[in-house]
Amino acid sequence: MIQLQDIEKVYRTKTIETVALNRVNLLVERGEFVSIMGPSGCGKSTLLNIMGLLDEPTSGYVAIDGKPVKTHSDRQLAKLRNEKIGFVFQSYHLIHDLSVVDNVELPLLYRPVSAGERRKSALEALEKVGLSTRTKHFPSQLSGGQRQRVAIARALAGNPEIILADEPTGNLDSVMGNEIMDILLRLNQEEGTTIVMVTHDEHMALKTNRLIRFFDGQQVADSMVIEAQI
Amino acid sequence: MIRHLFKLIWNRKKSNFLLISEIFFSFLVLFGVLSFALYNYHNYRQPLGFTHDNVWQVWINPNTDSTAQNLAVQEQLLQRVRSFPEVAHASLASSNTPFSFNTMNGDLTYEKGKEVETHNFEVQDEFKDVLGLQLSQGRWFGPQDNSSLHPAIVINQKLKGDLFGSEDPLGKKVSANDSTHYTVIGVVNHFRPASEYAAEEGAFFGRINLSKDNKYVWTGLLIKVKPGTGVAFEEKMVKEISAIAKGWSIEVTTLEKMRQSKAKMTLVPLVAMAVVCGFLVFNVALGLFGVLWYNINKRTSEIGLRRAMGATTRQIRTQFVGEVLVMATFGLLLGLLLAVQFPLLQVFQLSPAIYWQGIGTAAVLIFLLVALCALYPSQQASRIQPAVALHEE
Amino acid sequence: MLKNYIKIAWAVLKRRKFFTFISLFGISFTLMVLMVVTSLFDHAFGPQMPERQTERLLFVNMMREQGEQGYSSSGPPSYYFLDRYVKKLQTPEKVSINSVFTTVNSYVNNQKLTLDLKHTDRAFWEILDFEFLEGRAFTQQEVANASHVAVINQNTRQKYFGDAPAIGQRIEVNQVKYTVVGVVKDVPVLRLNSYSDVWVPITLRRNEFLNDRLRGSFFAIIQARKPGDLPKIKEEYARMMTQVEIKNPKDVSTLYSFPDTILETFARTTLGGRGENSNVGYFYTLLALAAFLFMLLPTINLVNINISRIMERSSEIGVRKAFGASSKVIIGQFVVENVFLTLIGGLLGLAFSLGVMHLINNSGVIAYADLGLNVRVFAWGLLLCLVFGLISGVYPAYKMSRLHAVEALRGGSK
Repeated sequence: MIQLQDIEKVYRTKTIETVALNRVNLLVERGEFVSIMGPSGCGKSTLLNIMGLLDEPTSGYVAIDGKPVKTHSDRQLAKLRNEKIGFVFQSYHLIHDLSVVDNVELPLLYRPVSAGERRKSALEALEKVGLSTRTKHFPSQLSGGQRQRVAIARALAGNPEIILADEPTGNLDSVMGNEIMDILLRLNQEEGTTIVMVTHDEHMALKTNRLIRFFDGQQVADSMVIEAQI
Repeated sequence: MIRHLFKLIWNRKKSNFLLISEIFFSFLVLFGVLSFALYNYHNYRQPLGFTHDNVWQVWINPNTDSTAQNLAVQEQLLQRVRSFPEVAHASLASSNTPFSFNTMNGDLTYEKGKEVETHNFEVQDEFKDVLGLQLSQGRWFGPQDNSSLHPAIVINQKLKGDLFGSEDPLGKKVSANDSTHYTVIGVVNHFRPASEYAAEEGAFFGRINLSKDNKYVWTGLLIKVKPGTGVAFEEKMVKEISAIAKGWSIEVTTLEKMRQSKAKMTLVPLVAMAVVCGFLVFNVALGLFGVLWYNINKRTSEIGLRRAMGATTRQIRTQFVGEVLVMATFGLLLGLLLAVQFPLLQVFQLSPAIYWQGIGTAAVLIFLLVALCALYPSQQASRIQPAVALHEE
Repeated sequence: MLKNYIKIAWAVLKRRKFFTFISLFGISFTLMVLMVVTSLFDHAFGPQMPERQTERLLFVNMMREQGEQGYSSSGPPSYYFLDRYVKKLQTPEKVSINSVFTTVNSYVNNQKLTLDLKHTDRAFWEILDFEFLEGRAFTQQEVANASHVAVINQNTRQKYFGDAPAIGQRIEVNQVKYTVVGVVKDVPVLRLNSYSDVWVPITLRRNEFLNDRLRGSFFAIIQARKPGDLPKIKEEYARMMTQVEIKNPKDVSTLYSFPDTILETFARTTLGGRGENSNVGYFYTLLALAAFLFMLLPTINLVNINISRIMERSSEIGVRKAFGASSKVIIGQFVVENVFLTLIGGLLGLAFSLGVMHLINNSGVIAYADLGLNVRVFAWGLLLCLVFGLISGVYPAYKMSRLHAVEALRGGSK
């Protein structure tokens, strides 16, 4: 599904050179739920950005569905992001001035879809996260957990094959965090959506199929999670 | 997408209120100035109905009141002027000669129709040759009018329309009041003497007949000189006629000079208005540019998000330009509500077409302007790296 | 504290050069336009050479004859009327009668000069304060004798004699020769009552004095003993008007004529109506409205920019609030900053307006215009600056001061 080979990412400023990722190799298979763990600044988010085609590696090979993306134009990349990938962020990134349902419609806006269909898909996605009653609210009127559910609904609305979640529970307390985690798990199990999640939370990470640990831009462990609970 | 933009702007109406009101006022200012400019331009394009090259204006003013003596002097003076070989034609006229600052108005009625306001010009038979008037119907004054029952008048096309509509005006009797009646003997194509920038108004010529009950000294003497005649002749002429008309004040100028000073009356305010308006609009454009730039910088995370959701750089650019255009549309709609009152209620008696042109041009200019202001900031917005934008916070 | 604020303001201005440019451009141009207009207004209506003591002067420029059958005719009054009625008024200190200027041609060395000629009495020179470059005004004796003497302006001297002295020289105006007795500085054409190029004794038009019509081609200037007398003069004038004998009662039933200040004269004639009202209040309202509308756009613009500029500094405000600054103090800081900015803009505007006035003076759009800055215009400019700075600074500062410290620290609300 997503293949990363020998990925290096180096940030250069005038004075210092920071290596964010150092020769990372990773293959995410269809239907997997992968969690990535590691301390702050170890390059997890950079990795996620590269997987989500938001960032380019300094060197290395990235392929989606077996097709390398290096030579893709801005338009082709945008199309891939739009159709195959859904994003969920720690700080939700909802647009304040749009209502819940308008926020959820956002990815469909960049597809040739009629307004009616857009609305229909958005409502379906909201249904899946259990927010059908809040469609006309604005983000500021919702709790953190609800906001993150809206963000997940937004990721789902475009019917992506893979969801990239960057610390989706990071801003939430454990009850809400668990709710979000349940939604993600259900999506993975029932709909077969591939999910890659960056997290700090060991407890959350252990609920997934596969756990990858990062330290200083390097992959230090990659293990299958056998037992869902420890 | 357009609906999405409207929604965004509508939901942000509070923070966009100032920008929208700026556009609203800019539109009104542009509309006002453009309507005024278009009105003048429209008038400028119309024919004047006369030619003024080589026409001199001689103002003669007796300064005294003994009429009988003055009339005799005036006749002598006129004869002397006509006898100069340099003078092709000369005609006495009432003081409201073309491009002068004087006016004479009156009302005329035809049968029991409504009163029509007109300008009346008292002229001699030679006036037509001095100014090269063109008749479209009937004839100009001639000696045969000496014995007419009602004084003959020649009217312009505008007055013909106002008084008679589609009727044939020739030979018709019109009245100025209960005791004064005129017979229409001819129609000139156009006569628009007030200024190049003034609209044509109804006008008629009455005939000055010096041999018959002449009561006034006519102060506006117009002469057509032969090409190439200059100041030397002017001095000679003024010296000679001053000798005839002792103590009179005599001033000579050319219609060209009078045209220029009349044009200045319109152009100076117009230019001043245009400069002030240009400054205001430029000021607004700069402000708009600054604020848009700032707003877009503030919305980096939204831009990152949209990119993550699959927006291309081009779509981002289009979105921001689009937002500004939508905002301008809101401002314009508000402005339009006010502006359409002008053609609908016929304020200031300008033709509605001019107002509509003014509205159209102002709207196009506003759109162009805001699009121009939005282009660069939007370009900046589309260059924002999504990965960076999403982690800023 | 103030010094501290100004230091910060300066640093901020330097940091955001583009915003600073936009603000300064808007402020300086707005103030420039306002200052040029104020200067024009002052030029036309304020005390100026030669009408320096405007608070003691009234002008009679119009006489309107109104008949019952809609007949109406107006124009300058006649010498007869002014001499017989206006000169006899008790309250004024002096009354001058002078003619409306007429434009005449003169020919000098094969060149044509177009000059404006005005006939005046002796009182004209006593009431008005002309600046004589050489020579003197004509005397009572010269007026009584109808001597062919003339006072000319600087421009006319230049045309006739170059810059050489002109006293005692002969000039020919409208085919009549005069001896130059004085040269005065050019009077702007907007000063209808005193303007001319050449001034000669009124008695040269003696033959018109006998004509007993009420309308003619003369003006009167009335000088009061003290400024407070103006209303009394107006009252006496109004009483006098009821006594004027109407020679053709068939056509004319009522007469209207008023002694006006310069502004009243202008307002009465331009704002229409039948002239019973001087319309000065209306005129001021119109002016204020125009100024308001003109300032509206730049103000909104400035408010807009200031909001962006201030919001950008929300973290600074957060810190200040966290350390105990009250909303009032923060508003104060931004208002001081903004007034500082407007004053800089005002200075620039002042420089620009000097340039524009210079341009107008040289362009000849207004004959003999001598626009300039004086204390009055400058004071107006300063006042406008402060108003501008306050209006455009208070609202954004108020908006900002209401941000909560935490929100402000986080970078402001959306």
